[in-house]
Amino acid sequence: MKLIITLLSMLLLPLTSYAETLPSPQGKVLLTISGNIANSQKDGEAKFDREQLAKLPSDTFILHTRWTNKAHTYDGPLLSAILDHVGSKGTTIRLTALNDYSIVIQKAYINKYQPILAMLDDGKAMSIRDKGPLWLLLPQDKYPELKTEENTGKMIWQLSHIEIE
Amino acid sequence: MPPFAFDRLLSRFKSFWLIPIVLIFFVSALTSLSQLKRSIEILDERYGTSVWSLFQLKTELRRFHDSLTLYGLDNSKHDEIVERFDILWSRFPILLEGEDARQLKKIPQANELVIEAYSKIQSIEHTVLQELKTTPHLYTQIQLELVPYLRAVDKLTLDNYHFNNDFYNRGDKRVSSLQRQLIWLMLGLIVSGALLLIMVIRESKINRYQAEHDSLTNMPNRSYLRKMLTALCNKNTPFALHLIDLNGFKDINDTLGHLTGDQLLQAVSQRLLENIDAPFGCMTCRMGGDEFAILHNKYIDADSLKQVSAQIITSLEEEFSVDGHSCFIGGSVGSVIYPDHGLDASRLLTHADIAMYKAKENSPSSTQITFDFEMVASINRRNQLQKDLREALENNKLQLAYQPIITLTDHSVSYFEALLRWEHPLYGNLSPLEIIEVAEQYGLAQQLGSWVIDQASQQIHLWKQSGLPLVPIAINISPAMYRLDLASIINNTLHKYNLPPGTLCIEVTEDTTMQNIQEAQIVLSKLVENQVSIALDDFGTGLSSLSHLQQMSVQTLKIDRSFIFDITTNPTSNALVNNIIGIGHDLGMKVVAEGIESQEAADILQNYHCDLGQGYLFSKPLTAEDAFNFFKNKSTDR
Repeated sequence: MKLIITLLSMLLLPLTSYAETLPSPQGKVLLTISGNIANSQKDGEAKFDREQLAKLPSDTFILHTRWTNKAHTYDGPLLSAILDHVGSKGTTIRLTALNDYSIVIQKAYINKYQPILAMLDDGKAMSIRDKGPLWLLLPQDKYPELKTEENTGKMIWQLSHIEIE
Repeated sequence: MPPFAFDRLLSRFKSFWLIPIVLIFFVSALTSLSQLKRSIEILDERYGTSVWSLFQLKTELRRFHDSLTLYGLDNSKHDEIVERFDILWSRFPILLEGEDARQLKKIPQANELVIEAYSKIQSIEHTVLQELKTTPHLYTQIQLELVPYLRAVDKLTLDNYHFNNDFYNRGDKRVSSLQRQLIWLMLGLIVSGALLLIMVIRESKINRYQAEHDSLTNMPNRSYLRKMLTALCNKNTPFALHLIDLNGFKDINDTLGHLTGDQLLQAVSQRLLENIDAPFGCMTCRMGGDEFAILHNKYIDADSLKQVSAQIITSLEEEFSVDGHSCFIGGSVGSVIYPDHGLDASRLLTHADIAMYKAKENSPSSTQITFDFEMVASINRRNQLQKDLREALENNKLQLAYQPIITLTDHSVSYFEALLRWEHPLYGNLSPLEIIEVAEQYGLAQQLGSWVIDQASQQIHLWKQSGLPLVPIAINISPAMYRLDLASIINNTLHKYNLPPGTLCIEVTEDTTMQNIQEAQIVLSKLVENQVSIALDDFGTGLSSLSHLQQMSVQTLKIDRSFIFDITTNPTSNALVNNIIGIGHDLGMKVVAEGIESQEAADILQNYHCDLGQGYLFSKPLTAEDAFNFFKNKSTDR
């Protein structure tokens, strides 16, 4: 009987681990993800502090955006890595900033251009005053088509909330 | 030439027009380029996102102001005030750095206002972050400090929006004004380009016309004719070509001057145009000099060719009135027919030339001759003979044959006539007549004559050495020899071989002598002075009159073979010969009968007291050796 239970629980294990409970953030919450995601903490929401985000696969962009006088080096987790981490199942992603500025991008767009949520500007953590704490950056240096008005408008700063639809 | 006035205007002031047209073209082109570049720059200019950023600043200022009011009602959420304050703070660097800052600087005082507002926000940082937490009512004071900036930023936002709109409108206006200028520039480009194109086309047309037309008569020239001939040959339909050389043109040119000559050529071309080109649908060309060509491309048959060529000759023979002079010329016409006489332009022209030269032989009378391939053969033969004769003379390949002249009474050898023999490797034995003709034609006659004199003298000398008595030899001389000092040449040669005067005789024909009767008389009398005996050859067939016979210093008369061969059957010949012998004797000459072939004839002639005889009855012409033997036999016979 014990064996049967053990075997059954072994069979069920992969099913239960599919919907994983993420560890709760210890520090100040920088990002909240909600909507069509598999992994969350509670109420279908996944919240992340700086430390958690720093552990995810990341990238570094050296960009000269229109808002600075020279090129800066930006580091941060890949948006696609964050979405994988939360088991995102949707294709339409809505990103919203602290000032309610919000944009919508498709999963395919993210897969193609692999944007980052920059946390460090020239190695310094970005505060709200410096477009932080999270700034969605597109690799404009690699893809010239990203320099258009429309794509530049997608580089949302002071990002605080992602909703998967 | 196209006759329209514009074209004439262009041609008259060609160099005058060319410079401004080229200038307009280049100035228009360069200015258009720079205008286009300017337009692109204007269209490329962006005012960017400063409008958006200012609206965001304005909103965040307002939001912060409103959140302060809310904080006044419920002062538990100081965190939210701090967040709003940070967001408001973050709006300033955007307007002070990067593209938005650059754009904003175009508006007077805008940058200063943003800096001032930013300083204000920085100055209240401590109050907002710290003091407000413990002293919530401070919010009204902060709001009061913010109010002037709220208003000022509102105004700036609006100003910037208007400026932005104006900017685009201004750009549009500049672009459209540039476009209007561009229309004019394009017009200049098109017009000057078109003019240049017209000039280039016109020049090339003139050049082509000049290359294919004769400048004096304005008629198509040789190169145009060649082109036409080639085109016609490719079409493979029969046509005729007449080459014309004017007869007597050189004399007119020499006597009346080149100006008159040129006018005559113009008159000739005009007449050919009217009389041949118009009615027969032909094309007259001037080949150069006094040579014309008529392309008769409606050739049907030999009759139509004769018709055209007859009309050409008639036209040329009519009087030409040039510069107050009345000129009579004529033409020698050589005609060829395609494809009978050649399949390409070069061959047709060459053959027409040959026919024309053949016709020219009849000059000054005008004749037309149609080409015949035999002409080529005879020309080739002549060319070959000419080359070979030169060589033969140098290498002593010519020979003399000797035909004895017999005393009719005792059948002894009186003397030998030397006859020229040349066995040509290709054409075989050539007649002396042809050899002399070739020599005359190519300036070898004197050389040939001297060779004959030398050869005959040498033979007399050799025979003498072989034990024969002195046997005189008669040689034939050609007209060209009259131009030399024949007497001295003969004397010198005889002297060279140590022979006495009188051993060498000369035979002249009536025709050649009568042609140059003056020259001939001088030469002949000088020969007589030097004891050179002269015989008149082929008497009775040529031009000589009895009075000439009287004047000329001739010792021997040779009756032509045409009287002798039927002397036995034709009473007229018989009577004539009898009388010629009588006349000869009366003038103190010896008489020789040529071409005796029967004993009967010899008998008759002896009966008529003819002195000497020559012919196959006695002997054909012999080699030197045979002649030697013949002489010896005759001597021993007696």
